[in-house]
Amino acid sequence: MKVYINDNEIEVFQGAKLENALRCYSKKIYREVVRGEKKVIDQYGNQQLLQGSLRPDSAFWIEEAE
Amino acid sequence: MLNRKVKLVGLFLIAALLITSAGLGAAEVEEEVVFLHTNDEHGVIENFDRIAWYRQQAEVDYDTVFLVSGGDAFSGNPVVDEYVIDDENLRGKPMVGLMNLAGYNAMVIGNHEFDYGQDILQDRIEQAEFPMVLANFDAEDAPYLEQPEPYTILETNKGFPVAFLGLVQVTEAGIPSTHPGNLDGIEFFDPVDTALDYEFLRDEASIFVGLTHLGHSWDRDLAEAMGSLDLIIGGHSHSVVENPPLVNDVLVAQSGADTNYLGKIVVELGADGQVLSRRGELIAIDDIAEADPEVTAEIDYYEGQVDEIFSRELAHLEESISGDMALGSLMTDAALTELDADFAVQNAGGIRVSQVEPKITVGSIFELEPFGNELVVYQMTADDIRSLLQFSYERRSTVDLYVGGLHYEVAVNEIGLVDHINLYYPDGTPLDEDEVYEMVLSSYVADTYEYTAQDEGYNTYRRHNDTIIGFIERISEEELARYNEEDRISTTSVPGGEGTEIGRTEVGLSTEGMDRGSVSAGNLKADAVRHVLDIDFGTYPTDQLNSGVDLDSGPVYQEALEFALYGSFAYDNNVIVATVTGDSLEKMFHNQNQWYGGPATQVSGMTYEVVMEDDDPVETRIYVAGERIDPEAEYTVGFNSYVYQFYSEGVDVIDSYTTDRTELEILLDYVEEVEEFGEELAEDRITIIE
Repeated sequence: MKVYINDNEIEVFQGAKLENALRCYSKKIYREVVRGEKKVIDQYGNQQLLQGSLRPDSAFWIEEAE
Repeated sequence: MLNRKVKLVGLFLIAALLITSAGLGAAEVEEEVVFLHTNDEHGVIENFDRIAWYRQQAEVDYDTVFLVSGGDAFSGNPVVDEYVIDDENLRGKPMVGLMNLAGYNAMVIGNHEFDYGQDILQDRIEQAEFPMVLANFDAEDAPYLEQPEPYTILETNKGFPVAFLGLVQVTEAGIPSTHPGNLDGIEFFDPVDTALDYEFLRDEASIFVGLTHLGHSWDRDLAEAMGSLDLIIGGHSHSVVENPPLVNDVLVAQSGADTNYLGKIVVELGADGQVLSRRGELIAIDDIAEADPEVTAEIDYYEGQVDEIFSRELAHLEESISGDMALGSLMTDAALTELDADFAVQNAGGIRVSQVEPKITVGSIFELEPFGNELVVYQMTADDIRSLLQFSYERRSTVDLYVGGLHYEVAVNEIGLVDHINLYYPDGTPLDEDEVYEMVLSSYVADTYEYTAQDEGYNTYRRHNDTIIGFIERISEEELARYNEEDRISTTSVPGGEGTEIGRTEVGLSTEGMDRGSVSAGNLKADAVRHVLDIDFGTYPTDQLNSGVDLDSGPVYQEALEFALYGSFAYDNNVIVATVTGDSLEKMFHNQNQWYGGPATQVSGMTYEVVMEDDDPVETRIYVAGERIDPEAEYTVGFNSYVYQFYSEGVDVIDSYTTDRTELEILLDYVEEVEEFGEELAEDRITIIE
């Protein structure tokens, strides 16, 4: 299954969660999200939490947390 | 016919909203109905007292209050997931008990509601004092589950009917995201197609709610396909929908996860029950200041059972199971046996204790594997398995993956890189090179290791710690005791090896003895930080050095620096340069020494002493050019960007910045610039005084 983070294509296993895709993308950013320094925004502008499910071909962006 | 909501035309949304608030809004409001909602609670019980309190307050402010869940109440908290009391399997009971007490009115059955098995889900449905609904499945042939209601119709206090239609996500495999073994005899259907079969509810209800566990993106698709809904209260994607949008005139809401938020939707009904307006918002749970004391007491009761839950005995051996080989073998055998796969691997970093005590309890297993990593299965050939094992060995320059179902031998060359790997069945027969095997990986290994495979892998939705508990309950104590004798991996050295030479050293690069003082690999890294960043002191955390590495003097290979010596390089860490006083720096070092139980930092530009009493560091003294560091003077110090948070905790930092370059880039710059390294790498910069 493919998803996109910051316009980068990420390939993850079927049934992966956002956490899995983010760890594939960057372990460093993953840890920053875990620590609350950054957050993940979906294509509709909503924050998505790390244990959330993924839809194939969905897109996410990393933002600084407020 | 009951009154239908006023349809809005999407293309003229703004105008339509004005009509809603100005034109129809002028109609008299007969009843204000509020929907409070959570989803994906995942066993988090601690906030139900605040949710209950808020519900009670809403009853004062509004005519009618419904509190509902978008599903996945279970799985995520051992107090809920391992709730076995007096040998009675009551998994999930605390969650439903608290939802009853908090006043939930309805819930959709989410994918994780199946995790404990059909019989337990049936028990929880019967325990719930609210309907647990689901429409898009047929459980007629399910051995342990009765078909729940597809929807429920509740009445407002003024008698207007409100319909809640339950829908759960279905994957490409045709089932929700849970282990298929939980779904015997159950058939699932497309949620949108199913929902359209229930459009008749529009005519039976003033407010028509899709109570879904699909994910926000799918909820939008549902809204597009079924504009007859008034609201969709969703779950599954853990989306924090702060301002629920109108999609095809359907308000689509979701409230994050873990009860961190309480969703709130207010619907105004006219005299004939027609929807006049809808608005939604999220309330951060921390903004709810008060709590219902009765619910608080019940939460305390369940949390007070943690000891009983964790002390449940699974086996009692004569000796501990000790060491990574024994524990890794147990963990992998559990995974492959419970999932009926060929092989499994377990990374050393995921084995969180050095031994499991003879009395093995649920708590022991949660200490051994506290992450609750889900297990993922890949189709792999022997070469695919080699690619995984090679990556794992070279990232730490030592055995990193323990195995079940096979044995392996790693041949390592003079640079410290893998020359080749031989794979065997436990009886010594080589693996079939043409066979495709089922390999189980933890989701962490699946995400962060590099390897090839014959498919994209699939999540089994089984937590590793859960499989270990199940495995231990099924095998004999004699079989368990034999794990101490396991020896499934060997290493051999082979001559030669090719790498990219970027420098030379008169001193071998070693991490041997790193717990007792400075080592050449640590000195090199700390020197690089100090010189490249042009600061007073460079550091590197000792616990990030790969243990047991001893590379020969001579050429310095880029590959050895990348993979063999420094554990933090796998995380692309940077360096944080902090300005601190000498006094603060000594406190930073001392705090870390106390945590580590000895010298925790490799250094450059200074030396330091650690005074030990009864194996505990009691004092740390830093010296610069032989003199005790000036406690008032300010110094610039470079730290690994991850561990900096621990160093800086409770200490005054005057200023700090993070480098753009990674630690590896800084080190490679340094080695390429200096080229020749001598005895300075062997300097003893740390003294232990006992």
